[in-house]
Amino acid sequence: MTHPQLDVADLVRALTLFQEKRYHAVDVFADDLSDAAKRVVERGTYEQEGRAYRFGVFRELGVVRFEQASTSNAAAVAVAGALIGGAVSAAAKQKGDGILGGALLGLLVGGVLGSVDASNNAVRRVFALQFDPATREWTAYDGALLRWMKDRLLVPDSAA
Amino acid sequence: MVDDAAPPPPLTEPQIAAIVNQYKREMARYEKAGALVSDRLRRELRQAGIKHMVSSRPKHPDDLAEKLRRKSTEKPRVYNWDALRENLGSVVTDLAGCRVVVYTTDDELAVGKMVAQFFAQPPRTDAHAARRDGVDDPYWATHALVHPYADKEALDTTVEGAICELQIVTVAAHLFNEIEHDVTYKQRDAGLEADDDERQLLHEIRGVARVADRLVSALLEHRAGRREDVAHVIRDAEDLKYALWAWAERRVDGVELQRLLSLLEQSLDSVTVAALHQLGAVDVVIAEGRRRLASHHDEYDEVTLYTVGLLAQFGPEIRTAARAWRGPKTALRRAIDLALELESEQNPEKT
Repeated sequence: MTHPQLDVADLVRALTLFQEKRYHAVDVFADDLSDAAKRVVERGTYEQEGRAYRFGVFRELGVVRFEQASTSNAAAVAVAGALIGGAVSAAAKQKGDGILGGALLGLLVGGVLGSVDASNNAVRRVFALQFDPATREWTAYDGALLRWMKDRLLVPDSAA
Repeated sequence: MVDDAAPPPPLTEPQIAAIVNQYKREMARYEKAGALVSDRLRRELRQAGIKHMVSSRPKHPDDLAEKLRRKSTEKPRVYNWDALRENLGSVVTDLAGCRVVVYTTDDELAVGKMVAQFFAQPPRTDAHAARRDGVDDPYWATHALVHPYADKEALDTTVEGAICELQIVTVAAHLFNEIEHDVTYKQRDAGLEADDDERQLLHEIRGVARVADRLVSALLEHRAGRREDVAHVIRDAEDLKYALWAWAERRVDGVELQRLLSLLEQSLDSVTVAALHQLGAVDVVIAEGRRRLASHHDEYDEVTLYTVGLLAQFGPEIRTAARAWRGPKTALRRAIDLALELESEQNPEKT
């Protein structure tokens, strides 16, 4: 049985789950992407219905970030192609064999909530998602791996 | 109306044996009733962030026999043969028993308030949660009589009508209550009444238990006040409870803290004290919850109102998260559904 995987259209669907500008990116594990999606990641950018998106690949973390982009900065991470292979291996290592039981998780990443205080305790808006391959819909994720998936999927500001 | 008729005689030993035999045949029913009550309480207390130890038991047949002997002498009109044969469980209301041991008297009161929310109660005056805490009361605890199911809940017919006596007590009071019960009740019946020295020691233990209650409360209040480190990561319902209290500078009543924490964990990168501060003052968020629930707000506790108040900042997320919730429709779920319904009535174009 083949492991269900995410297409780029699924990533777009995640980003448009909520109103525009609420979340600018979605982070997923690199090895959850379909081969077709990986080929798009290698190109670094994507356009759909006149909207520009770009990919960021975080090889060490095994994470691919898919985010909205203006056409002027769309090529900023075009080096993605060189990194995707390593990211897929890192993602598999992060998860361990069979630990997610085929669950496809994603984390929407939004802006900082309120103001950043003097001690720099920024609180970021995120939303944990699980993908249902049968309906190709994203639903809220509230499972036992919630903290783990946030820890693994949320790309630190310094890396992003 | 005064009953002038002579009280019935105390139960005879053969009568007691017959009632105990009848009880033995029904014992599994009471064991199940106690287990259902304790299971529900464990779930709800965890949700509410209240540290607890919950236990349940069916009354031991020997203890029932002893109780029938004593009570049919003390209260012969209540503990009479006909009434006991007709419905043993409505006369002896502790055939199923459940005990909740908590740290503080505040927690004891909070659990007492939860009883009517989670269990149907028999229609009798001694059923509602009542706390014995008079200066001269030898025994401090909250008692209630409950059925092992909630109002309007699908009935498990094997326990329909079964009554469970619920005792809620602090750790310190429990220590005293148990020793006092053993010394003054059981040993009196065994012909070993407490002497002056034992009574003095019991008196002192009671004082120590009262002091321990106060010290535990003071310690926990102090710890709650220290939840001011903005980087502190909130990891469980109890932690969230104290963090909310510290931020509000008062107690915030409510049950579904675990659900609130789950929502926050789904929606924030890290649930810290700083994050709570960014969400706004507790009373402001609660006021928003009240506003959203309009005239229904007084049906809900403060944690629920706070969660509903968060709809202002996390409306789409809470709506999406709530769709994925499984299990019984709790007060929090009902409140969120209601608030969303009211919102869509007011702003149909937004939804």
